[in-house]
Amino acid sequence: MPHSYETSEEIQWCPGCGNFPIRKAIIDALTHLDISPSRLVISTGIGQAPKMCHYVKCNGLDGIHGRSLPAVLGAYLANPSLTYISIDGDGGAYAEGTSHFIHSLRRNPNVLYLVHNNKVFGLTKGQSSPTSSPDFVSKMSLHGTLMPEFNPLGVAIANNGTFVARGSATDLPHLTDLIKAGIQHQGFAFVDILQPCVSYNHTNTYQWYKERVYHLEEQADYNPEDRMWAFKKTMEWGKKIPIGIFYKSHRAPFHFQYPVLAEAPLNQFKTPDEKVKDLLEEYY
Amino acid sequence: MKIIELNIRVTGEAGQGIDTYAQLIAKSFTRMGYFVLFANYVESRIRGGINHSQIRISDEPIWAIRDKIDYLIALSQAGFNKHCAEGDAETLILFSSEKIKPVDQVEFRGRPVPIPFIEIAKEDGGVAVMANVVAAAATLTLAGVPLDSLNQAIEMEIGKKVDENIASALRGKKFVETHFMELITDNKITARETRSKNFLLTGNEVLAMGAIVANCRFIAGYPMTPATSILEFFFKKMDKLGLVAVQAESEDAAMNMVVGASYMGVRAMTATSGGGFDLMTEALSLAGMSEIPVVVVDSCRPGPSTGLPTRSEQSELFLAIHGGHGEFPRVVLAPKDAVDAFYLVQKAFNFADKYQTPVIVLSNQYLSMSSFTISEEMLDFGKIQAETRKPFMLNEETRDYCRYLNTTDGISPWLNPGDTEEIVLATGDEHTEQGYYTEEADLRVAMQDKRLRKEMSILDDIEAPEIIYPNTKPELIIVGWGSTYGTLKEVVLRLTQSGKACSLVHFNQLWPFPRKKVLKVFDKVLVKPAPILVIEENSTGQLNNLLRCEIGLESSGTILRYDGRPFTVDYLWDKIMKLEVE
Repeated sequence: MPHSYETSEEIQWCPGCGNFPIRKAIIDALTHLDISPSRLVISTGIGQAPKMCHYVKCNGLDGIHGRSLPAVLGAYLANPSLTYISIDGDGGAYAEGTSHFIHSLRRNPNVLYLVHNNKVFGLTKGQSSPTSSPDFVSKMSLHGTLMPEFNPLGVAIANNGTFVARGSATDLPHLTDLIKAGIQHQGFAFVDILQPCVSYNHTNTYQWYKERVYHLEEQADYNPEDRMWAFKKTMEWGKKIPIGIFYKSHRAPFHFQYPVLAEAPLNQFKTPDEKVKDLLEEYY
Repeated sequence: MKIIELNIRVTGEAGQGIDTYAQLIAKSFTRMGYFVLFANYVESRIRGGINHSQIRISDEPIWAIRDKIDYLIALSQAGFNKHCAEGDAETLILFSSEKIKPVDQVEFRGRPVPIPFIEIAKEDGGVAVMANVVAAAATLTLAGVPLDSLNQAIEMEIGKKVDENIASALRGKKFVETHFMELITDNKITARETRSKNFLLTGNEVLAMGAIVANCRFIAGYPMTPATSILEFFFKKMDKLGLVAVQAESEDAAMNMVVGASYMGVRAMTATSGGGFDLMTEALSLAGMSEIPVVVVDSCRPGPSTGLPTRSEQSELFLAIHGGHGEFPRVVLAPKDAVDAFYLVQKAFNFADKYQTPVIVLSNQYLSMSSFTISEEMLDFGKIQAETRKPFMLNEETRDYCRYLNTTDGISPWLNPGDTEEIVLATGDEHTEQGYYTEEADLRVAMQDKRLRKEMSILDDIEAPEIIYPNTKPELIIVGWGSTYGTLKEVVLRLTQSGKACSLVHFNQLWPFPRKKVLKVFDKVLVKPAPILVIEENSTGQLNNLLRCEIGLESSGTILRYDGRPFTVDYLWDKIMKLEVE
């Protein structure tokens, strides 16, 4: 019998929020992979998207702004055998938590990172985010941000991400496949998800994305193992917006550095006193 | 013949091998069954400058240093100039005669002993870097100590070119016997019988060992003086003991990693200093709200801000008590000495697990980075039993596991995610018993009360401050906390022996502040009215203020040291004598 991922909680997102389809894609992917909620950890930060761990049945680690990645790293190292998903918005992921994003790419923990990128700070009512367009006007960017947008996929490829992808809330089946592939990927799977925000972003709407997104894998020159090709693709934005897996490579997941984790989760061990006593010898 | 005490100071530039010299001397004496404490006074640089180490040797365990100098070893001219007047008429000042000379403008006290350490090192195919070995041998020879244990120390500390180093040591000894025979002490020192083996470790190393004995399996941290060696200890032992250590990209990352690991049921810790602790306070608040056990070692150095990065202070008591926004229970401990650190860090993990709350262990550069002789019998590995997190009992009529079940003592049953079919929530938001969001006013109050209620139980477990030497009628009460213990204790003993009955009240468990227990302690020592002197290494008198705030105790005054150097027995003695005069 398939697991249920429903919780008792009232979903607080605005009607029409892009988080709804993304939630459905996550649940569809989990259902398809038959992952038990008790074997799933969703680590989140602060924002609307990070409320996901209360709307999907799981072990939820609902932490602080932009710090979902270091929190999930600690959890994952304690027990690498569970399924770990970290979820954040573009504020937590690309402003507060950029450092953790970069170093997670380098470390390559076996974690799926979903960033709900709606190009605005929703929960705090409409300030610009690192991915806002330069002409995005808000109370704290009165003439637009006047800065180029942050390029998360470019950063991911520059820092040796082993699974770098972009999805869209306007293309559910495609997004579901990306999430499935990300969970199955042995290493850090990063998926930037284009998401309309019906309350605060009246430019990048469902319609706007539908007119522009196209599937990378349908391109004749599709080559997700070519890093330079992938990097070029990350700079493509405007009339056409690529979605799909940009880049994929193989590197040992971070927990392989700790042979002890191959035996059992960390909480199963107790260091024998004798072994600790032995440590004293070198100080004699 | 029995030695009571020897004080050696070595000075020179960073990178000249002062630490090697100190280690060789300390190891030599430790191997012979004596007790050594040496403290490092270093600048924040890799090469150059003027550093020194102060080494104290005794036939009894020592937990305090002095300013006295029986032997000064100067490896640089600047070091010589700075320290040559710090001794007394009896001080022997050894110095590298090739490059150092007493300078007319600089007065010195004691007897200069010029020795060409470098030339002696380079004889017979040796190399200049062996000069420190020569200096150690020369010192030991003057102090009446045979070279056997130095030779052992050479093998352990240096490990390479052992024979050449031992030969250079012998040449150093011969030089002294040839040129300075009259300065060699009559008190020959021989190896002592000891009940158990003596080891030489830094405070950080003992503390880290205690954490591992407590079954801490996960550490994440960012290098910061003087806490770094705790992280490095875990890294070194990681593979052998099956630990996980992570060098985090920042202190905020480190603290969040600790929260994540602990959420999964693993004893986890981090170690940092003030500036790093500042960055961790947001996640500390998360740990308090989400009721996840964490242990943070904060090894203090002088602030504010970058301050004096390589020096010592006790100025983060209030930071430990109040850091992290919002109101949540936490425990603050401050080890009195290296042995106390071994046990107290184990208690820290017990507090954290039992009460599902953050625990902060306060150290400082002096305690963390000084080397102490610790005998095997001082470390009882089985003394402190690990307490577990409150278990969850699944039963037939159970509703879903409630991570934040409201209980009488405020402590909810714990479950590790993934161990059962239940789901486990942890959140920094205000929450229901299950762990989902709530903004309901009455639920908020219930949860906040639940968290604060844990403090009542913690207070039962917090120990009262220790009283040293309850005299029938002390004329002076000295109060201190944390790493000054050894120094205060020795001064109190000296004062009492010199005719001024004195008692010490010393705290190593500071928060939640055990008001009733502390009032009882002061009742006990204040048999008759006596001045109360609070002594601490900060500029605002943090314990002094805490005593006033918590129990309304107005001390008679304070002795504060905040020049970045720890209290020594001599410095404190002088200060107290001056107060007496006034």
